[in-house]
Amino acid sequence: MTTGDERKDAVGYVFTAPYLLFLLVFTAYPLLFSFYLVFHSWDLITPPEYVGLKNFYFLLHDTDFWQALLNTLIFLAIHIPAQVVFSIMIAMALAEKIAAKTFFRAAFFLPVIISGAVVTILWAKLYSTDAGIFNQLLALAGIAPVKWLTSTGLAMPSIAVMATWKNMGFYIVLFLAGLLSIPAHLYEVSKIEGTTRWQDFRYITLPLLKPTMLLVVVLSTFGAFSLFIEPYVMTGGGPLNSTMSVVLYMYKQAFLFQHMGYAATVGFALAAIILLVVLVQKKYLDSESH
Amino acid sequence: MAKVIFEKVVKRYQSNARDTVRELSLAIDDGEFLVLVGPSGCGKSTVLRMLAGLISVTDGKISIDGKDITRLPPKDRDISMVFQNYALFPHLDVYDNVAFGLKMRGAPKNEIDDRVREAAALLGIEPLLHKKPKELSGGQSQRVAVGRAIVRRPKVFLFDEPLSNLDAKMRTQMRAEISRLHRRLKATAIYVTHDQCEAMTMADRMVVLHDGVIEQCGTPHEIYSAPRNTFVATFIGSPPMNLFAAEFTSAGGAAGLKINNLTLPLPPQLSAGGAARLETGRKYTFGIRPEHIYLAERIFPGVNACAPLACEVELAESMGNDVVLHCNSGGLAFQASLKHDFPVKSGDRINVVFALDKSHIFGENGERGI
Repeated sequence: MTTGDERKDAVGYVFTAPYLLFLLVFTAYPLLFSFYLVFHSWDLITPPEYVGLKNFYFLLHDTDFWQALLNTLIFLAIHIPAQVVFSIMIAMALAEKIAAKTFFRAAFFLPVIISGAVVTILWAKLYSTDAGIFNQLLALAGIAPVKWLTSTGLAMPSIAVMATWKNMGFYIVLFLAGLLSIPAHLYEVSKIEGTTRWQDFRYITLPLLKPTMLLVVVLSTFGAFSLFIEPYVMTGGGPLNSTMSVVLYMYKQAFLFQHMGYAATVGFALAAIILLVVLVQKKYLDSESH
Repeated sequence: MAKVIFEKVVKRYQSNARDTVRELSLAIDDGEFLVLVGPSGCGKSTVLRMLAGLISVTDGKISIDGKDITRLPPKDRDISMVFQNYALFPHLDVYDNVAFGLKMRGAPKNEIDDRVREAAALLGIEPLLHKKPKELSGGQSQRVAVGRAIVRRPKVFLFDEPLSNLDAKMRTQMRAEISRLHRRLKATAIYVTHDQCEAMTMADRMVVLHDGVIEQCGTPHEIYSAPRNTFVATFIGSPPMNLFAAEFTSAGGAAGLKINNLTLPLPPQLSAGGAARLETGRKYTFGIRPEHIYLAERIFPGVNACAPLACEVELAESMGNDVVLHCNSGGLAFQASLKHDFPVKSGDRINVVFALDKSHIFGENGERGI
């Protein structure tokens, strides 16, 4: 290698150094350290103590963890289909020639850029059993107040509805981009061939949105498994652990009970579960689109 | 029977904009292959899309076999269309692409299968039936698009610049294939192109459009040999017809046309009485196609030629079989197309003659009518 090449390389390293440093300190080190913690018990005060696979053993027998996972899966089962269906519907409406299109596009995107904590506090007020607007509207129709966040059966679905509203704008943008990339000629062919609007959707729009749908499903799966701020602010995981998500459980184990090793184990287990779910989703959607 | 009639059809995209298509009236006979040709933006695709029902008609009436279809949805017009970019469904294989229309209309499965295989056999795409569009070449894709159009056996076929995306060799091949297919199906076909070569070779009749109006309608031979105006004269033919501003003169008792310092005798088609219709001092346009200019020493017997004209060859462009010469004779610039067997190169001085019996005279407004 010539001296010139070496100098070029050095300049490259200098320019990438700040990001590499950031990556090392805030990503690589915590990742490696948490992997180290998986095999240790640590309470943040005394030095970590090697425990082998005990954390995994405990995880497998921890009913609270499995409850948290089940809660997260319930959230996922409501949130993802709702996200996909409503995002596609709204994106299709916004792709049409409608009045005030720009206003509606901005309006639907607005919740995405509002802080999660703010949105959650706002929705906690809307869901309030006594003074919430939802129950006031129901009262106008003569319906008894609903315990949106204080009933074990309704709390997680209520959080899922809120999270869907909060994130939908982002997925609407993705679907809108997907819809606008479908060549207009294909719909002209279908007009000539005499398809109905439903046939257009079923045989043209939906198949051609498959790549976007895969992206949306994968991204919202990541998002759904990372559910934290909503139950943390609205319910604290209750009532009776019914809104305890895996991430909230991990947080509580780490910073409430100082079980850092066990929290790290929960984190790695969650990563493995996400990987598994996404692989299954990808395989299913890929085979569907072929 | 599928006779298509346009009656004073107008298309205006915005209420205050000028008309894209202006009072177009045209009758297309059953089984005819009509080509709409014109430069970009002349309204030819608009005419086709109005017939297809893909865009609305602002005014006027379109009928197929006497039935007014002006406001009918596309599916009720019994037409099919082949698009420039093929418009194949990327997620469907060739079989399902061809079968799409029949499936959507709920045709029985065995009938769909019979018709798809028949169309595939006709177009030679049977080995491709289970391939996806992304696996096909441009020519194969266009065959599939044609297959999708013919499988439903519509009354009228519409082609919107279907060969524009193909390379020159494939274009020539597909041109012949579409012509053969039309002869076999005997259906009415309307074909839009900006390529005059396609128009000339494929059309039973061609319509030259310009700025939303029909400049001329006729057989390719009629349009080539008797263009109605200077636009058609220069649009059809490559290289284009040479046009010169001319004045009628009868100085010294001999009637002729004065072009710059050159005086040409009246073309024979005008000298037998036509001269009476030319007025001294009025402006005319004299037109001669490059292939009707000959080397003075190689003139064919029987050609009614003018006196030899000395000129300089500014540029000689070899086209293989022919050579196009960009000539200049005392400021009079023109192009001549000669057979390649005579060695002429840029900078040579040569003598040429105009075949007057093949020349054209247009009035001051650019119209023939003389």
